[in-house]
Amino acid sequence: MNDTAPPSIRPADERDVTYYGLPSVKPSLWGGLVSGYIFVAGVGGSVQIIASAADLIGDRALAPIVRNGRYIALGATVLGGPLLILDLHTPQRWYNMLRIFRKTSPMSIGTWVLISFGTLSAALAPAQFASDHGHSPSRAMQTAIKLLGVPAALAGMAMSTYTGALLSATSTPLWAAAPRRIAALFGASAMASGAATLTIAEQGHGALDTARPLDRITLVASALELFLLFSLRLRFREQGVDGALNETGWGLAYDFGAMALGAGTPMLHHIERVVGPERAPRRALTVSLAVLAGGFLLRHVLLRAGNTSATRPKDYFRLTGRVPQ
Amino acid sequence: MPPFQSNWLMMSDVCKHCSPAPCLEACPTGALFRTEFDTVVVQQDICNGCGYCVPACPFGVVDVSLEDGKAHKCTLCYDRLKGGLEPACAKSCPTDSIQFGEIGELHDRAQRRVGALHAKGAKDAYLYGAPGTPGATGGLQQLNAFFLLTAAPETYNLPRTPSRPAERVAPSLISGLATVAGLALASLALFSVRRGARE
Repeated sequence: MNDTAPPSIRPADERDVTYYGLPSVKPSLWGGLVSGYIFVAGVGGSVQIIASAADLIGDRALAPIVRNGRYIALGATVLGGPLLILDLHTPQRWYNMLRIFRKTSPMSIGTWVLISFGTLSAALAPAQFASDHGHSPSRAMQTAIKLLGVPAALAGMAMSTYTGALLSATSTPLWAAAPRRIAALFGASAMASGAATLTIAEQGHGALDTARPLDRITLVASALELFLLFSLRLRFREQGVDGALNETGWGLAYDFGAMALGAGTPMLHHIERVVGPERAPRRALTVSLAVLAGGFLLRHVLLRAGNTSATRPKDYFRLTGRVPQ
Repeated sequence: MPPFQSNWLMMSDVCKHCSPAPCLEACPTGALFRTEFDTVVVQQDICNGCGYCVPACPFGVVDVSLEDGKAHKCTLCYDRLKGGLEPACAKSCPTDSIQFGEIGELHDRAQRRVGALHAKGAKDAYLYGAPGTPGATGGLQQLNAFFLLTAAPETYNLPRTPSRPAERVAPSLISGLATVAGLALASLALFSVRRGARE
């Protein structure tokens, strides 16, 4: 169909390239409930992963991590479901989500991930409760619980990251520009937030046995998160969609909230502890709260800046303006 | 195109009834479905207003009404089609600029029209959304409502190479899961190092 090719594949003058500046796509209707859910799902999913890893190692000293993890994961499910239902515009029909499974829809994938994760978490938490209250399980039962932790951790991995696909499988310029990096970033940030949550849960009990590995998980995950935050920023620039961050306040929130506060604080604290003139105190609570605040901000900024990017037709046309090969 | 009269460009802002349709592929309830006429329609009695079809649409067509909490879009007059009538837009268009028919037949007719326009010297006429043309890109096989345009697609508020959002699901999921799986293994290692150090 060569004779039907458009006359000038070169875009017209930048000033003329839009239809009177009107948006070409519509922004999502999502706001704080959804960024809140993305955060809670990430924390719950990753806490379950860390708890299952600690359980698999089978070290008695790590028991508090397993215990707190099982409870927090269930708590996150109990909180997450209602957040999603409240965001529906016809919430009384939430159960219509259960009519189908659709592999092209991260919203549908996520429904079933949340249900699987919730079911597994709801099985593990009472088992934990029983053993916490003196009903020590039989050896076979213990093995069964440990094995159940594996699918729970796998579902936790999906909980921590599917929300990246939820954003990217849209026509919103900012989200569609970086499907791989957003999901990886959500995963790294979720693991850092999960370890930080478990650290907070252990505050006051402060056993060094559990504090050390949790601090290190936070550090490794935050280092990866920081790298991905930089990488995502570059990707947005390459794709010509960074205006939704740079020309609004969201860019500052990304740089100072997600990057410096969320991912930078654990690095700084680690450097302070290693190269400080004398061994600096462990500021576990401060660092953990900074990680959690940064983790929530990251999701909220990406969500709201994405909505802004959908109202910027030039961003969308730059992203969809490449000459097809 | 040299100025002729006002030189206005007229455009029907219709749902493109994409094949495959990103809104339908995003819908988690099955409310959006493909009809026997190969059009895409929202079933109002099933939609729960999750709104995921809204950012999914590459053309900004579907929206959620805050009055009734359901998604709404052009149905290509599903009720009229069922009754053997053509859609109201095609029926009422006094210049026959909007035409309705079998999609293959429309493709042929449009192709001939582009040829005739080229022969008359209107060299900038082209199709948008027919198979193999701009608009039918990035996993979108064709738009069942397609256009004959005479200026850059962006002039009509159309993206040059839209893409099918569902193609980003697998890369995104794989990348996310691989990252977290790596960090889960790192956690296992960090827990066992700690154990090793104590023993």
